[in-house]
Amino acid sequence: MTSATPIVHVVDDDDSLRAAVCRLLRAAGHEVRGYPSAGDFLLARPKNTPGCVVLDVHMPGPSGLDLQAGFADLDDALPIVFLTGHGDIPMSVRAIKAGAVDFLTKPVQRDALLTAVRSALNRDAVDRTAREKSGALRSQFDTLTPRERAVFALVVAGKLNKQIAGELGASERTIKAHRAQVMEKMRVTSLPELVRAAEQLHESTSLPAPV
Amino acid sequence: MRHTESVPTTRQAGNWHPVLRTVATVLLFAAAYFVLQRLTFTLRFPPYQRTTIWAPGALLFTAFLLAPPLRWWVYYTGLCIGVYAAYYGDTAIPETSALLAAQFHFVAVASGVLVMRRLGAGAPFGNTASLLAFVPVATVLVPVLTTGPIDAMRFVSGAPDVWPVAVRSALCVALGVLITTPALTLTFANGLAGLRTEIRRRGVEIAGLAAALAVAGFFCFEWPAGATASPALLCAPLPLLLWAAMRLGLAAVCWALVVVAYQSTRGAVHGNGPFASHPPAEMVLEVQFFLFAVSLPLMLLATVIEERRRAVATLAEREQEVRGQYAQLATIYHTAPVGLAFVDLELRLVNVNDFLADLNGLPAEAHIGQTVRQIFPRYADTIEPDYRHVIETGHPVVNVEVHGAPASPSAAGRCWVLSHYPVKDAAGALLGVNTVVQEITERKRTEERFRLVVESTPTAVVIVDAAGKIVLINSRCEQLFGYRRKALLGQSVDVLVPERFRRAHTGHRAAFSESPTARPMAAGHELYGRHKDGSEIPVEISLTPIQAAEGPLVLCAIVDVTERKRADEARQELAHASRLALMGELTASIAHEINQPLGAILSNADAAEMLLEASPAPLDEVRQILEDIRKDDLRASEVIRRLRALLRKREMELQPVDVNDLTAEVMLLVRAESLRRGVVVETGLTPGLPPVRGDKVHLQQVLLNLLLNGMEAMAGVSGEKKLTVRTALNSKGYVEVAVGDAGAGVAPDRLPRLFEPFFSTKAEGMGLGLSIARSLVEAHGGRIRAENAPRGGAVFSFELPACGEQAGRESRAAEKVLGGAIP
Repeated sequence: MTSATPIVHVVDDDDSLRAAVCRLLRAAGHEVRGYPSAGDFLLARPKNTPGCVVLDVHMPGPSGLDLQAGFADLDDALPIVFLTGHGDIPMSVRAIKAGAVDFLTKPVQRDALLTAVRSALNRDAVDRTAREKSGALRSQFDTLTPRERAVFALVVAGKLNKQIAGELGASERTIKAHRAQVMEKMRVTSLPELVRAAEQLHESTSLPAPV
Repeated sequence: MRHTESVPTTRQAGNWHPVLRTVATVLLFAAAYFVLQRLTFTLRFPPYQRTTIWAPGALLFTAFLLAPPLRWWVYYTGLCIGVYAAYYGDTAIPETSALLAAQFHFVAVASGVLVMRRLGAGAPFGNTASLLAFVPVATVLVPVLTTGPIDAMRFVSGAPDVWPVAVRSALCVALGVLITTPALTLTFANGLAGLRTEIRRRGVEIAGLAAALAVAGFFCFEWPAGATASPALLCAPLPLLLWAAMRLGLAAVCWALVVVAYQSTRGAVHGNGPFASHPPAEMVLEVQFFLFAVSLPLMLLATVIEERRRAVATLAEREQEVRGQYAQLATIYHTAPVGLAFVDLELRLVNVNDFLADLNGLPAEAHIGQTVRQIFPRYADTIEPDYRHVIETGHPVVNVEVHGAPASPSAAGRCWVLSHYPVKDAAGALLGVNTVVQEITERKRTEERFRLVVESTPTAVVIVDAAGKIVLINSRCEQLFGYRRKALLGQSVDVLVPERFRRAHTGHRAAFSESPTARPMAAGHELYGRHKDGSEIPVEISLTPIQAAEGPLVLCAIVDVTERKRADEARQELAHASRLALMGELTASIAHEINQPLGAILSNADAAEMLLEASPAPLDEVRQILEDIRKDDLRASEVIRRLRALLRKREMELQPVDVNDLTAEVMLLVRAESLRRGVVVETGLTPGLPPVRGDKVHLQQVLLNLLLNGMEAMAGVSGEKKLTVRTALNSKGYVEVAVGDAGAGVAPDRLPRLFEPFFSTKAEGMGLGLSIARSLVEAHGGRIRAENAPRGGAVFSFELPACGEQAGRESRAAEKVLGGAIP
């Protein structure tokens, strides 16, 4: 999956501008696809493919900002570079806060666009790796029994085996066995590694933070 | 056949072949001659064997008088045959000599008839003049020419008694022609039918006369009294001859004279009657003198009496005619719808007609014989000088206006026009004066009303005649152009036209007088009048043709539009300012509209540059890019062009505008703005709308204003921001554009004030946009209004009068007639 060529998706309702931007990005060596509206993009985009979106803010139908907001909920969201004819500061702040890579105004300078696209693709690559990693941790975590999960939570909270045994009402020996089981299932060899795995899990899931 | 059937008399004649008819005529004439000549032989006197009267001579004369010269040969032939036959075997004169004498007679008669024709005696008997022409021809010319040559031959051959024979022969021929010709001619002139009519009418009288004459003649001339016969007996037939002359005319007298001649000659030949006392040779002369003495005065008398009788009959006829005409004229005189009076030289009324009598309130008879001063005491001072003038100069005095005396209750306020014409007799002497009175009170009142209306109207009025001369102006006109009334009346209307337009104006005036219809002058063009000080005044002029008694006139109503032009200019300024403000609101959207193609151009250029670095460079793609760059450049300049058109400060320009096209163009302008505001614009354009006559930019401005207001009204709406634009033809035939928004609507108490200046519901609004929109729409003859929609939101709409096919044609036609730049 990570080996697939990243695709730059250009969404703009102005045919001629879209064609020009596509052409430029293609000349810069990118794989490019253009869409006249947010709806077209959502329907036609390939799933789980690396890439980024160059998005016009004002379009008939859902606007670029609407698309961004909807995107945030998706698993395979792509980084967004906004391109607008008349952006104002509140709008750009809102877009950046919501995770946009850049907010460019038309007519756009070539270097600015190419840089923004490159960094968007980079971010996508990073995000994608992180997402893949957290996906592995998650599936390891899913193999834990409820008892083991409770022990995991208390271990990463820095509790000693004896304390855990006391809290869970089990013998220290039983806790030790659970702990070994957790370390093995989470494929870690040390406590710090386990703590980091717990942190990563928290970031990507709704797991309770390790205190 | 058809022709002859339709005319019975010619059918009768037509039954005879022309040759047969001619032969018959010849034979008939010859027979008549033969009979008459043989009768004459019985009356020959010794010793010269001459008679008193030679009747056969009249036969040829009558025939030549009645027949055309081309037919004379027929009678000539008859004459020769008759003469030869009559003298055949005669002892006194051999037939060859008689035939020779007939030749002379023919020449004599032909000459006599030609002379009479030459003298113009076409109808030889009927008036004194023609009779007087006939007498010398009959008594001198014909006898001399007939007998002269034979007498000459006898003289040359040394025959005895040349002179006495010559005198008797000449007198014999003269008497024959003189008496017999009128009798035959008048009897046969009207053909046998005329003779029959005459006999039927006076047959008894003629018969009676003839009988009386026969009896009287017998006792007078043939009673064998011998030498005892008294010469007084000669007077016996005279009363009968007078009777014939006075009652029966020339023909009867002549016939009677023929009878008397026959009787007297017979008496003389047989030695009876008063002429028996002399020897026969003398008696011929005696009888001949007697017959001349009787016949000439009687013939003259008959002709004169005939003439008198005809004159009297003609006079009676004329009188009848004149009486009829007089009756007609009298009826016209008394029933004429004008007053008529005839006044003699002492200014006494001789005649007045009923109309004038009614006008004066007195019976017509009461006027007669009175003086003008007695009958018209109040007006005598006014009208007497006119009468005197007519009487002194003999020239008419016409169209004198007389106003009713204020003191007279029946006449006060009335007005008449009087004309006096001299009446002269045939010799040119003045008999009196005829006066015609017409009442013109109504006309005066109408004129006065018209004058007052024109005078009091707030519009400047100029009335111009066909030649362009000013006939009437009102006080507003004096005021507008700065001239006194007197200075303008009679002047050419060109005085009021600025110099630069005068030439064209003359042509337009001619065009108008060719097809005069009421219409505004030079529709669609600016007109100027010229003030006395030379300054130009913007005006509007409407022309109305008037048919007046003095010829066609044109009424020009002139309205000073200086104020309106000033207001128009102010509105243009405001509209421009408002447009600038509107554009200000659209700045961001406009930037987007321009940035879009600019962005495409930049990116395309960048792409091309990068593509050219590759080797081999994809030239096809680069070419495509250049094509796209060109397209985008044009797109950007089109936006700028539209903007410039909207922002330019300009005069109102009227042209047919398709409202749907206009809406579509405005939609392009606000597209970016609606995207920016997240407003969905829905358009519903009714196809096939008639064009409106208007200024495109101003109408765009109105619609733009309404669209932006609509978007503004939905700024705080959380749901769908939908703006609808619809065009339609409404029931009044106006083209309507409605913009509906989905905002909160307008508070009902604010609705009526929305279009007032400086009234705004917006915090930052100046409150001018809608008031300017209203003034722009109203300048197009339209109406703008706002209302709340039942389902929420407000609807702003404006309607404009459609300029249909009709209006378009009219304005084109007017421009054609009136040409280009027209005052």
